[in-house]
Amino acid sequence: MRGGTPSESVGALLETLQRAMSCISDDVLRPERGGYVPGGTLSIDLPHGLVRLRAQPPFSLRVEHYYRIEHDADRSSMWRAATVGYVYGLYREDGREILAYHWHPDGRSHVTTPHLHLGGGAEVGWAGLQKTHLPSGSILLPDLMELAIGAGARPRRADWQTVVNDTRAELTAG
Amino acid sequence: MATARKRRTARVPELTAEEMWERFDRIARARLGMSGEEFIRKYDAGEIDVDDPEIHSDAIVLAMLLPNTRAYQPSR
Repeated sequence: MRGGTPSESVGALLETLQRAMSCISDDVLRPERGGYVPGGTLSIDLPHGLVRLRAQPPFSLRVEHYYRIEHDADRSSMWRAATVGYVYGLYREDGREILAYHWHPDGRSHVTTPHLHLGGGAEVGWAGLQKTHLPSGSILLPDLMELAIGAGARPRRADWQTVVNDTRAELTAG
Repeated sequence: MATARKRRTARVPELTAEEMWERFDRIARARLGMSGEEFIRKYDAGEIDVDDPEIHSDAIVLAMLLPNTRAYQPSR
């Protein structure tokens, strides 16, 4: 997401992510300390951790979004808060992971491309699926909102599908 | 666009210094059963396999947060 200043670019990213989140939760995404200043990989997440969603049975949401603030390659006067990774997950009430989408190209993991994990909470019959990284395309937060609603989370707004579509388009456009 | 972005919104506050450590420590304790300090010690010693399926998501999250959280470790 772009802005005339580093702070504006992060604000634009936060606003879009928060609007997507509003489809199923009123929890507030916050940047880490120093999150408006260029320098390394930064994070946006839900400070209280997993967010319990309204569903029957209930399940919870995890949002960890990683970004870097950089000059816009196309317009040097502009700044861009560029997504450089994520961990988005759904969890059972007992804490077991149902599924998690990952993209973590930096660090010690040998898997640097976007992928999906099926956890113990998915209760998949074949154990091999719980051990492996399932290749996926890049996932956007609105995608997770749509998935969660499809899995039974109650939408918090009547126009959730429009919000999902709009925020998906905004994040794709960068 | 039906859900137009607000052009100027109040800036969302960053985590405080205390919240930075609290977040890291909470994830380590709740998800991995160890303190934040213990995770850092083990991670730095190479004892945490972030690709271990049993802990992968949580280890990855902590590893991603670690570089910017070290400065807020209470024992430092």
